[in-house]
Amino acid sequence: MSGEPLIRVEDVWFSYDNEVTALRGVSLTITKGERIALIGQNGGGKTTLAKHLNGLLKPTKGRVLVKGMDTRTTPTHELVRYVGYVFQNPAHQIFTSRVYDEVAYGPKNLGLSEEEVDKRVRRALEMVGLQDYVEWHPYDLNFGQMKLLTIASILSMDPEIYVLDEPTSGQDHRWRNLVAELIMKLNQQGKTIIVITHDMKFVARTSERTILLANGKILADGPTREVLNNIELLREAAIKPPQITQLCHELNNRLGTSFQSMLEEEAAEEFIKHGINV
Amino acid sequence: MSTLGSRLLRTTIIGKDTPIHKLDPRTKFLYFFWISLLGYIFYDFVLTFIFLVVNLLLAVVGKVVRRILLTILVIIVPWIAIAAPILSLPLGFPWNETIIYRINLFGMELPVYQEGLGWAITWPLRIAVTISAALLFMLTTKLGEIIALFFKLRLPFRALYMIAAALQFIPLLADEVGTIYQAQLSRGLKTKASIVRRVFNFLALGIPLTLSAISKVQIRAIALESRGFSAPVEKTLMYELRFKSVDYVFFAAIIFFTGVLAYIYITMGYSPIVRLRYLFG
Repeated sequence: MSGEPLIRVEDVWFSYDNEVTALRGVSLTITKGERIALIGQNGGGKTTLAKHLNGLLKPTKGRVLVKGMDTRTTPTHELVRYVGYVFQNPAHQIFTSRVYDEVAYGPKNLGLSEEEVDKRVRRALEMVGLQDYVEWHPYDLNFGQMKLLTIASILSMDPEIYVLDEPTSGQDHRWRNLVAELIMKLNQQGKTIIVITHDMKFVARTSERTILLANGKILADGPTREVLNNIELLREAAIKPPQITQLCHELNNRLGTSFQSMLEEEAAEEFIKHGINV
Repeated sequence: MSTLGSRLLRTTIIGKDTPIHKLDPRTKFLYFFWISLLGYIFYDFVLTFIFLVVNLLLAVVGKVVRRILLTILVIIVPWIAIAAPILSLPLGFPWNETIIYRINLFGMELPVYQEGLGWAITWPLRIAVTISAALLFMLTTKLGEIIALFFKLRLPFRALYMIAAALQFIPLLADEVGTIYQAQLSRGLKTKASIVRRVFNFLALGIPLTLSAISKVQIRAIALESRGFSAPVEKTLMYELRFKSVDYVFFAAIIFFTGVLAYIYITMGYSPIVRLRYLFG
């Protein structure tokens, strides 16, 4: 984490209606160009924390600074210029009758010129592979395409930081791959990516840093390999590591090896190197 | 959506164990009708205010007073604050006749009329009585009890299910509105905008909400039919209603006060304390 700090979360507490405490003293720094996974059991505080990053939720105690701006005092429509949030369910945001209009809604709200809006819409649709669906009704798209449309509608706003809430839920292998590729492409362009997910294989593939949340607290925050190989801690948070990591762990227990692979190709190489017949 | 509105919609029942919660839903439903009716029979804002206080006292016993009081204040205080100065002054109310006070406004002496003032205070209080009694019922009665109540009232099962589904859907949709609102905020929706812009903002919230509600209803209909909802058999409920001693005490109180208030009405009329003139009589 040596890049420019973009977001600082300082001892943030948050309660819903002063009844349910969802965050309990969370502190972290997010720097430019990071690919972060927020993982944890249901109700652990992942989405609540993520919604603090663009001011959708304001801390009950503590503060969140986005590029130095305090989210408690900066209007959300200002913060969304820097932090784009893609919601889990496409049905929560799609309301226009044309794919084009749906993607144009965000940049129009930013007050951009028509030419700039048009340029951004076409670029965003191309990035997600929906350039041939410009005139389609969004509800005529399949679920995977609708998910990509919601990502495109944030891409067109061109924020520096992307928060993707469960981008792979309800997606088949092909769409998961598309989203993973998109994340890597955006990251190569210098964008910071934060993904909330239960899909540990996706985490292993796309994130270099993983934050594990449970009961509103950060249980672990570090390189994905370290976090996903901390089997005991993951168990405590009711998280199942990727199957390859589980296999490596089992082999380490039986053979005394120290495999720490998270992906199949990586594991195959390690096993071959150690003379294990795969 | 305002915090109060959203909290009210999300809350169908506040789970507490109080004498009000223990009352049979039929008793509470009868009370709701009884006190609301009284509010409209008498045209007397002091008496109506007393009815409201009774509702609030029962809400204190039921430990739901804060929520009810907040709702009432949000509705009636602005209403009275706007209506009273307009209706009680000349030209504000067509039936103004009896001058009760004179005020000096910008160097002009203006009469304050009893008819307009009485109307401006009584009507919000009447509505407050109805709303507070309805909330007292809703916030202290489980959904299963409400369904059992309507079942006892021999409401057709389909209509009964419509009520149950609506009550179950309200908190779900309230949450949905919150999420949709956040999703649109994330795309730069501005809440402080011109009227035209606000109408467009409404579409950004209303369309996803409507579509999502339709989808939810469709899924539920399929789930219900797959479990034989339309089967031509006699429907039964798992929840059985039974009157307890606390219900009989409550009934006795209702009968007693009905007698007292009937006597007051007969001997002193519809406005026994303030002595307002019935406007259309």
